[in-house]
Amino acid sequence: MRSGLRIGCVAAAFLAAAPLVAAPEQALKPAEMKSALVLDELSMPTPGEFFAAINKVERPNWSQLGRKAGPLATTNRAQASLNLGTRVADGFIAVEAQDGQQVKNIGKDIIDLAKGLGVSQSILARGNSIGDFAENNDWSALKEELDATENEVKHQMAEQKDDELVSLVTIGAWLRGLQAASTVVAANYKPESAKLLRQPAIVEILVARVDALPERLQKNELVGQVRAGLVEIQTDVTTAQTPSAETVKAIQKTTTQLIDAISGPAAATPTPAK
Amino acid sequence: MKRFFLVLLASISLLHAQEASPTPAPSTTPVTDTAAEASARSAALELAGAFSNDGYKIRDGYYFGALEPGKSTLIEVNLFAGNEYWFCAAGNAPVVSSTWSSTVKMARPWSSRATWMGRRRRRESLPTRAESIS
Repeated sequence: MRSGLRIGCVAAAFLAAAPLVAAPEQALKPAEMKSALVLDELSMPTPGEFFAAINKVERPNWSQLGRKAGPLATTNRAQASLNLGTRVADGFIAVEAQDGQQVKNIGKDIIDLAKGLGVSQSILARGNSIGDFAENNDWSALKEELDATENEVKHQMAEQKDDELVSLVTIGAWLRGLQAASTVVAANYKPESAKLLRQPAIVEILVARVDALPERLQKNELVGQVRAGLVEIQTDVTTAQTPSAETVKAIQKTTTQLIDAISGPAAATPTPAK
Repeated sequence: MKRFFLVLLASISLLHAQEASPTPAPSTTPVTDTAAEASARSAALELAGAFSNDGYKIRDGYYFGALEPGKSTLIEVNLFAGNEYWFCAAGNAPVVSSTWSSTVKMARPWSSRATWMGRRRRRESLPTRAESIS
């Protein structure tokens, strides 16, 4: 039986040297940890990983955690990027629920949002693949395809000098994943699953990403709201090793408010599974 | 019990290590970063692909970089305890790898073996038990 279920921040060190060189015995120093590279695709877990960990301690009714999409059309590129991230996480939820039609709908939403951001060209094929995999109930392939689609959008954003939007996609996906997971845990509190919500290293990275955004984006009202919410979550998850039931509810409330702000009032918030 | 596995993919090139070697491998064409990256990534993907049959999922990301002899490169990765992870690395010279948590070294460190393109390939795993992660 596994114990100590929680998220861990680790550093992988790669050293060019002869094999079997003795590794240092002591823990990394704070300065060494600070020098570690943080790479969006490699350092951040996918919503699918989060949900897989949740599945090991809970049996959530994932279909109850789905939601309808809010309005996708917006001239606010920051909002569109955040929303795109939330829809990727929605895709993972639909895969967990094994709802092929919902996966296809979400795939279409992702393409539409990407079009609005001018990055749809190379991900059109991804949209078709998502549809095909959903048609064939290939849930395993869908998880990888959703992850790849998100990364392809980010690559195109970077290519067209929209690097700052990449972070917002990541934040949107993470927030929606945390919202769904906190809803599961709040409905049936267990310390083992509550520990999975405690992700201080990730919140720290995301707050730093927001702080690194250009000034015009930081002045965006929604981005400001997201930053404030992230800081609230950061406070919630750094105080105790195991978030209490109250803390879990606070995380659920904060993330739900942010998701509603990102996706619009038409998007239904998830109903806690009883 | 449903098992869910993930593979974290990292591909690494050791261009600097090769250049520093007193007997560099003869080459008629210069190795460009692009070619080295593609080659290293392909080898790491090939290695990771072997795990797919066992139900592992590949985290769709990779790192490519030139490592200097004796100097390590640290990459922060956030993992969920309860999930099992493998790291795959490939390079054109031996790579030594270790993992640490943010506070203490892993109870069972990733052993220092190499994934060495064109010579031999070994698979190394992150500890499946993650009690030391905090």
